[in-house]
Amino acid sequence: MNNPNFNRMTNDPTMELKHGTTTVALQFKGGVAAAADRRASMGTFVASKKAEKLHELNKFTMATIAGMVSDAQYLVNLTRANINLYELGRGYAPTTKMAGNLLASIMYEQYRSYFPYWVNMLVIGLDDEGPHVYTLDMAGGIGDEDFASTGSGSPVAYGVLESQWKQNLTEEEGIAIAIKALTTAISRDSATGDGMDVAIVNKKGIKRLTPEEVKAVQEA
Amino acid sequence: MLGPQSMGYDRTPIMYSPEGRIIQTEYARESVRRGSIAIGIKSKNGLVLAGLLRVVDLEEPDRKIHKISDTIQAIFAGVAADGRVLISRARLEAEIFRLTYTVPMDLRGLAVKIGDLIQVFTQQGGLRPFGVGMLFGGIDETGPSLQFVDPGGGVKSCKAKAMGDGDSEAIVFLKEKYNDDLTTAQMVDIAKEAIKKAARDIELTEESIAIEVMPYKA
Repeated sequence: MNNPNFNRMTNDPTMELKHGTTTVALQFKGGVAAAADRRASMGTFVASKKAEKLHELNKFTMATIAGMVSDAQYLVNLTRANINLYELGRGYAPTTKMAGNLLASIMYEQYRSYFPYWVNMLVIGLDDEGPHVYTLDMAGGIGDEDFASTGSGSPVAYGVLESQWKQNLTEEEGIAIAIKALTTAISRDSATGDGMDVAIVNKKGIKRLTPEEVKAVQEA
Repeated sequence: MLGPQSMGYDRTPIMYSPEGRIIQTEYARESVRRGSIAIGIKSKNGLVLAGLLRVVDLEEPDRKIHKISDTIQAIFAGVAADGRVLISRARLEAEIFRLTYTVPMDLRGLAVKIGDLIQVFTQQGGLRPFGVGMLFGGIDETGPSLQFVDPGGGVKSCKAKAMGDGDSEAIVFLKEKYNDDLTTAQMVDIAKEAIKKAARDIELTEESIAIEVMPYKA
């Protein structure tokens, strides 16, 4: 990039550190599972121990966030508002695919004006095409994956996902792998921690796991 | 002596007639009166919106009651295209409010926003005033709320309201039956009866009346 502001931002070490997070998501047969830690970091300082990184976009679509908190929260709210307006106008909700691509368009537009939203997000859910795990980068790129991870702990989480994920996992297996991947990231990445939120999307909709359910899976 | 009409005062909303009337806006109210009847009733137990659906030949019936947000519904009488534009705008305003404040929008606030938009069309040259009466109903911090916005942009908080073809008959009936303790079921019956009175000799079926009930517990 030739823009001086853009170069300064990409090379700024304080900006890099704001990526401290790990979120993971993966497909199983008939749905998706997602997990995210609760730590928000500012450099080496833990800014929050109860950060919310799993967000519901509509009944069958969720988003995970990593990166600059303000940008991510704004994008979640903006996407949700657009999805609501779509549903109000037509009487039925947009698909996960549409929600993901809508968010990618918003991010691409911003990237092209040299001040991208500083986020890495996953849009996950279930629609007529089946389960989706979309990865979105700050340049507006979007990819439909079997499994994905974002944030500073993602290299650690990817190790677990690569070795354990396979086609046609059951719901229980999917949840167990997501929790395992995040637990591993928590133990090896200093910017990831303070417990986790876990959710699944299946044909009944979104379900968040209770802390007890998560603990039971971790100890199994 | 020539009347204000033949003097051309009715040709634009930017000119008053010598009696101080904006005659274009009055014509717009006339187009509301030609619309199919729309009714709203509220009590301390909730709120009911009801409307008559006009079905033309083989066309699918239009939606008469429109969802604005999880807590707000709207109904209008008058020019359908004008109403559709205002409905979209109301949805956008309600969504922007929720995005900004994270709580559902208040009915009065929404009605005033739409009223402000409508008012511009009664003062600016080259524009035709909206030919619709809008009725917003819903639940907010104040409890059940029913807000009427007229083609001049005026906003009125109502206990009950009827607008459209046959509204005078309907309003007489509503006045006779209204009290603040009505249950939602009673309000549904009253609304249906009021629509029947307004429709006079038109034959009504269950499908030709649209009803939306919003119960409320204090």
